Amino acid sequence: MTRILDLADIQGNVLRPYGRMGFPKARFIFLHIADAAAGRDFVWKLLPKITTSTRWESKEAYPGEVIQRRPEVTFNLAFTFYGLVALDLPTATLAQMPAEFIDGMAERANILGDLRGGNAQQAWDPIWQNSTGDAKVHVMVSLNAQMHHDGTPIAALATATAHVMALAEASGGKVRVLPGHGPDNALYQDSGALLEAAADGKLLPTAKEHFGFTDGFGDPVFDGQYPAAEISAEAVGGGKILPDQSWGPLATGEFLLGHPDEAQEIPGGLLPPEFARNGTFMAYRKLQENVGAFQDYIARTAVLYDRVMGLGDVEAAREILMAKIAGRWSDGVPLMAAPTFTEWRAFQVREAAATKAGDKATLAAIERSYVDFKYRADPAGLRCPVGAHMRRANTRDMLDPSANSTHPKDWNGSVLNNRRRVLRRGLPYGPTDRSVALNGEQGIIFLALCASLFRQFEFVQQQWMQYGLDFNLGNDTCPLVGNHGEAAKFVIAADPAGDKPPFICDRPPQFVETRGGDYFFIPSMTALRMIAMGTVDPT
Amino acid sequence: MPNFDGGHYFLTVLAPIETDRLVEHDGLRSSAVHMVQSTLATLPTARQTEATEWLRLGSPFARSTRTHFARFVVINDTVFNGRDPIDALRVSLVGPNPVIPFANDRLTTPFLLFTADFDAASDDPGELRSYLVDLWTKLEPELSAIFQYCVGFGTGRTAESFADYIIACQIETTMPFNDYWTGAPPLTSLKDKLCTMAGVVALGALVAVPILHAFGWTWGWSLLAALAAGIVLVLGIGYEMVERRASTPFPRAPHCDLPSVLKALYLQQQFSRLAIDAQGQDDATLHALFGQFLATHRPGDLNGPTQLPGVIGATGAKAS
Repeated sequence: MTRILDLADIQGNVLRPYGRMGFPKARFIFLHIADAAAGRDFVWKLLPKITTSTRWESKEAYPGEVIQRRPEVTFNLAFTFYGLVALDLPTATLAQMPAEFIDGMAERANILGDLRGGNAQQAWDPIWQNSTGDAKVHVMVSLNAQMHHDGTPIAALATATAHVMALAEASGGKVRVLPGHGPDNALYQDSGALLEAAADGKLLPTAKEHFGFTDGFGDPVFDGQYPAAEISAEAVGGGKILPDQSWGPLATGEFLLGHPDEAQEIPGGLLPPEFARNGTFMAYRKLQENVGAFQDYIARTAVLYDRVMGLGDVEAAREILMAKIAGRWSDGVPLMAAPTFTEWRAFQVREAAATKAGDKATLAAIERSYVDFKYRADPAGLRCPVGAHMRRANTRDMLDPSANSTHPKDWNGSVLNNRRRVLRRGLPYGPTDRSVALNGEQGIIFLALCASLFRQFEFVQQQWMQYGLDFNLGNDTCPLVGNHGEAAKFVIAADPAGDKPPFICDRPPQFVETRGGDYFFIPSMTALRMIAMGTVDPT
Repeated sequence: MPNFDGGHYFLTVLAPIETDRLVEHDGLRSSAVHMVQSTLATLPTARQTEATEWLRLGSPFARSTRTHFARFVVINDTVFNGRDPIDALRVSLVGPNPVIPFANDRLTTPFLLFTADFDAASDDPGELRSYLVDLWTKLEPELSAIFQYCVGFGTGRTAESFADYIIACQIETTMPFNDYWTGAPPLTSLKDKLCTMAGVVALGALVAVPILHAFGWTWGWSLLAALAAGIVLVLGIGYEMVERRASTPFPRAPHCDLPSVLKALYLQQQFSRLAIDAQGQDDATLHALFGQFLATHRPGDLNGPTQLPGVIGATGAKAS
């Protein structure tokens, strides 16, 4: 029985990746609350503007009256632990908060690998370096806006920004916007999809990020996220793999508090229960992408790869290396669907032909193959390397100790992965044209949403991105986003029965660096109202 | 028997800590158990992470090249997890009265737990003694600081009297564990022997039937008695056979002594480096590189370049 969620109670950014739904421009405004009453007043006045998860289109048949007019700009609110302290929440509520949320992201640097090279936080944006005392980050207002065809956000984004600024202004300094983003100390953090010009010159948002990969596949699908009629189809590739190898939606409680999770229980903790219910936690991370270093390294290594493999095509070697590092070809086609360069090209031809012919059945099958795959058939990583970014981030059925048993009854599906999933809601920042800057201010605003930052986000970051033991890779880190120490390497396995050797990418430099961020609680509408009214009552 | 397994000796020691006097350290007068904990807190650990790799201080146990793992824990008391759960209806009808506290176990004194697993040829007591004597010779200052407040330890111990003390406090290690097997160990299945034994017993039972009949039993009773005796015998002997097999030590893995393990870790890292450097090289260069590798790292020579004990990574590798 599919779970029915109270969509109007859940903030819209939890269920929706706005960036892919016509809102390619995002803006994050961070504030400090110096006075609890002024803070509550600020929340109260923003409350009617908050975008919930109600549907925008009637064709999404969710039960009940759940349709709202599609906004021009979305509004969402989140708080750090110290934000909730500043809002005078009762101690009995605060004391139940998870330790990692209380710590905040900077304190968790050891776990997250953010301490590379001693005190790497010196490279963080001023807002995060200064986040202490009367400059402590308390509130995050996130805005997502539609876009004009010249690549600029619609005017409503400026209006919404001015509205937030005016509300803070009106508090007489009791609620203050905290500047300090990027080299120009900007008042807020902007981000937005990378753009590409269509044939008619119109700029259109893409799913690309600065390295040239296509991002945003394989987001988890959980019970209640889609109407009953759609959920089983949506769960394929995004949900969990059951022991019988079929796909099903993940438990709601992995992503929304107050619902049963994959441990088949409602996690205890936050009081009162209605304060936690339909809320969730989020990690906001500004991740700098060193595009110049990445391109240099790939170009250099592709020459060697080409020679070792005898390809006679350095350009193909470059594409292969990128695909092996990410787990997907640069256009998003997974290695599991097209393991070789030739097969990838054939896949593209097939897709183009089906698009041209308007062959819906073939297109649907092709679309499904972007996410519908398992690793049981590739335990050694001959198609997709075991240490590839995608395989680390979402291990699917790879960690099932009985995956290669000859008795199907022994199979456990994705059980060791089901409690380690996060919803990703990020967009790139920096220039929207990939060809502009190479090592400047650019990267991804990475947002990870989950019910437990410790169990889900931090675990994946620490154990799967910054370590390799679960994959029998020793201390090899993620070739894309991991810390690359002095002896970093990335192994591309080869079939022992074949005539090609394995290939080891030697000492990649640091491709991705953290520029700051924090942990936030995204309350439900109920909890936001309770905060604004000052009626959070754990008794 | 489980003290020795897989080619390693697993030592477990429980030493009682004094409770009858206060002791003084750096001007702080406190209980002996507190000062034992304080001493342990300042004992350097192995340089196991990148964060500690650069430290010059390392675990004193790194001086003993027979020690794989060593661990100290102070056990203050047993844990009481509350009353055993009993059906509430039963309690209300027949008790026990919830107002009367359940009995729970207490230790009469805190204990210092010391466990170590080290290279040994057998479970011969001489192996343990030689290890302890070697340990005292290399770690006397640390060991006397740690054990000084254990009951009866006192001062002025020698290597031999340290060994005497530890052996007196030794308890059996009931569940040893280590894993240096890279493949499946050569274990033979008991299945065939059990089957043979069951066959022999069945044959015996078959022979017993006419004999019993000859003694005046009916055929039915003879058959039944032989069957029952056969089943009892098969189960009894089978159990004994499994027990015996279980109490033989697990076979020693090849190259599982500490110097070999360190050399293996060292070679793994150096060979990875070679494999990377050799990518795309022609046969002659590859041959030369491998020759260089053999000359530099001397794979068969345990006294050659190797990884230092007590550190992670070969960055602190010992130049021969």
